[in-house]
Amino acid sequence: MKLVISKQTLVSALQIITPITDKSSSKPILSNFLLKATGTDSEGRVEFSATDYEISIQGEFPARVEQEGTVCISAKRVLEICREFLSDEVNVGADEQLWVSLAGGPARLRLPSVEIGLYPSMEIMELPNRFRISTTELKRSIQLTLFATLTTETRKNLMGVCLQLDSGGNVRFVSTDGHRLAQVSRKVELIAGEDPPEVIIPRKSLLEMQRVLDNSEEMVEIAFDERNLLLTSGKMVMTTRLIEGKFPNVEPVIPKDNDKTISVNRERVVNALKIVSIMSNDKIKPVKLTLSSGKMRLESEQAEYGDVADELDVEGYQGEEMSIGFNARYLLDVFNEVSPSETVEMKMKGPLNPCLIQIPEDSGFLSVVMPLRIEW
Amino acid sequence: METQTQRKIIHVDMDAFYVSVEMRDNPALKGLPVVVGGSPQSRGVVAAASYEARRFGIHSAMPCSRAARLCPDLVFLAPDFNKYCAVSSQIQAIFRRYTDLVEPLSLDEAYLDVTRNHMGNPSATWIAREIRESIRTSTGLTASAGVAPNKFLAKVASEQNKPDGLFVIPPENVAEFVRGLPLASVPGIGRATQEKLSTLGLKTCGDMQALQAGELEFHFGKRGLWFHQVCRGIDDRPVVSERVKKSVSVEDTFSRDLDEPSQVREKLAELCRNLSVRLRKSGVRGRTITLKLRRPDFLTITRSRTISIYIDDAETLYAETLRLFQLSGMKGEKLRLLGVGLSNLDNDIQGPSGNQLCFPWGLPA
Repeated sequence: MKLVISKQTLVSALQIITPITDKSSSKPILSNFLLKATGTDSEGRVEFSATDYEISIQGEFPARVEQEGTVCISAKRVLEICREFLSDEVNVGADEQLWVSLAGGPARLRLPSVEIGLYPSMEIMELPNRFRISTTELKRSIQLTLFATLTTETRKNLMGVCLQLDSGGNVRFVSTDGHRLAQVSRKVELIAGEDPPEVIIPRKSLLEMQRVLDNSEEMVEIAFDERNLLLTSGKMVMTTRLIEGKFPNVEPVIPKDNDKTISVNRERVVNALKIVSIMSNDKIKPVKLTLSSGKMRLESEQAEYGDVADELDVEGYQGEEMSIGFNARYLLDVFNEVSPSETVEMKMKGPLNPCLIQIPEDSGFLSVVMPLRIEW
Repeated sequence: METQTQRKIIHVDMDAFYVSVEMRDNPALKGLPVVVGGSPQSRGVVAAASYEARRFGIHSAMPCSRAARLCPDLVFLAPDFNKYCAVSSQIQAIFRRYTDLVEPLSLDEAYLDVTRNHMGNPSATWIAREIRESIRTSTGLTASAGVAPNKFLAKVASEQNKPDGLFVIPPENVAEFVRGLPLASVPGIGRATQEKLSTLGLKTCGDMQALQAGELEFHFGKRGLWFHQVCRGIDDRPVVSERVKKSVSVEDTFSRDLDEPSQVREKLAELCRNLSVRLRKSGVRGRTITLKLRRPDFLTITRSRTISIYIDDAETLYAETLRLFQLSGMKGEKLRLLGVGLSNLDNDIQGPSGNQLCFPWGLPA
């Protein structure tokens, strides 16, 4: 095998696949990736592929290929070294003994290739339900839901984002950890799908998907069945296994008749929440919001340290004073993720009822946060 | 050097508490053999027996079916714990008029350290009398009390003149009192230990005083060292008013063994809901979930798992419990008892922490 590839292409391809290569020693083969050169000269292509059994990524990039061939080498090591090369291009070669050499100008690296037959095979499947979505919208949808997924392994079905597609091309991303939820609804270009199943995409796969999307073309295609989901962006394909399990029906917990609505300046609230959460203990950061006409007061106290309060102007609320407690972290998460939205709407009902959070710019987004019952 | 002041401990024990509460509320039961517990057809046990029932040899923890055989006219009452708890708080309030050092052992029993008390009353005997009188006037129930220089002797004393009695062991009488005290009256010595003691020729605390600590340790292990102390009337355990809770758990024995997985899931969900209520009442969260399973042949296993966050919600408890159940190896077996517990509690969290509310889903109805 012999080829020349642009350093930038090589590094960005490796940056996408390296995170899924397994660092654990239990399956050392998974720390490698496959590099396959095909075609000749100006028609040449290099395919990068890696898998951790859960997620697989394959990507094809242009290169000048002098001699076809495939090698299997450590992703992390190649990335770390190529990143430091000063040249614009990298020469990759392999001899019969499967020694792989990488050269960037005078600097060069030699690594032994692993027997390629040992690497798990990856197949690209044909999946029945398919839609196209803009990369920007998909990235935003992931960002707006990922934060509310469960991160501890207490309930597997909540450790991802639920994807719901209907035959009218309406797609919905929903996440919840049992205390809060986030939901994004979008209209997409449906390609195929009759009665598509509701699926749960693992959190980890979505983190990886974000990296793939950072290097994607304008539009991407998603295909899925009950067990697998496939993201295609130009010459890049990411496959992930889905979480088996049933996602809770969140519809009944989305408040419909919350009548205490306030509009707040996002940055101002983030600032106030940061101030008051300094006083809280690490596990939960209780904050008490008190609404009165045109004002919202945020307070927190901790017996050992003292108390803290902040007050800001809000629009919309006229009525009796009402206090409601929250875990400040949950509010901060939503308020941070909906950036750059300037204004955030909070719709409340009572101190023990869920609070609905929306932004004027995006009617497809909503978040619900359950209060914290605080005894002060 | 200051010598340690002689402590004054009172042990108050309500007489046949659950049954007395029921009799007070339903005078027609007076004079009848009554037990509170499961029904005679059930596999429940006697929780409390009236003194009339005790004459038939019925005692608490006896299976109800056996009690019914011993006394065919026995009246069975279902327990009403809400009521007992309410009465118990009334009694606790009376205790706290005298001292903050109250150590409740259960709803109907407590130790009080009245060495220094709110009334400045130098006589523990007077206090014990007043407490018994207050309990009688405010609840209509009788209590027995023991007054002594330590917990062990106070507890033994409260048994002496039961029911409705008071017994005092002044410090100067301790030596004489314990010498004649039958070992069977020592709390913690049950039938098995008694048999072992009598093979050693020991009947009273006085007999036991002849033995070296090492000999007792040889026969009874760590408990032997404890025996060595108490048979001399020595007990240094303090009255601890606030016990730090180590775990919270609930369990249920079923009238019919469960054999359907759906029944097990339903019961586990119910237990998790109850456990969650109890956790929230005590304001604690924990992160070690324990599942207890018992087969009809009494083979009992427990399975635990520790997670990274502190929880108190029924949904997470249920999810974890179900997972433990699925890994228990008892799936598909008949089960007579299920229990769920939470330990590794966070009861040292400072400041207002609040209760994070959860979305109401995830539990089968």
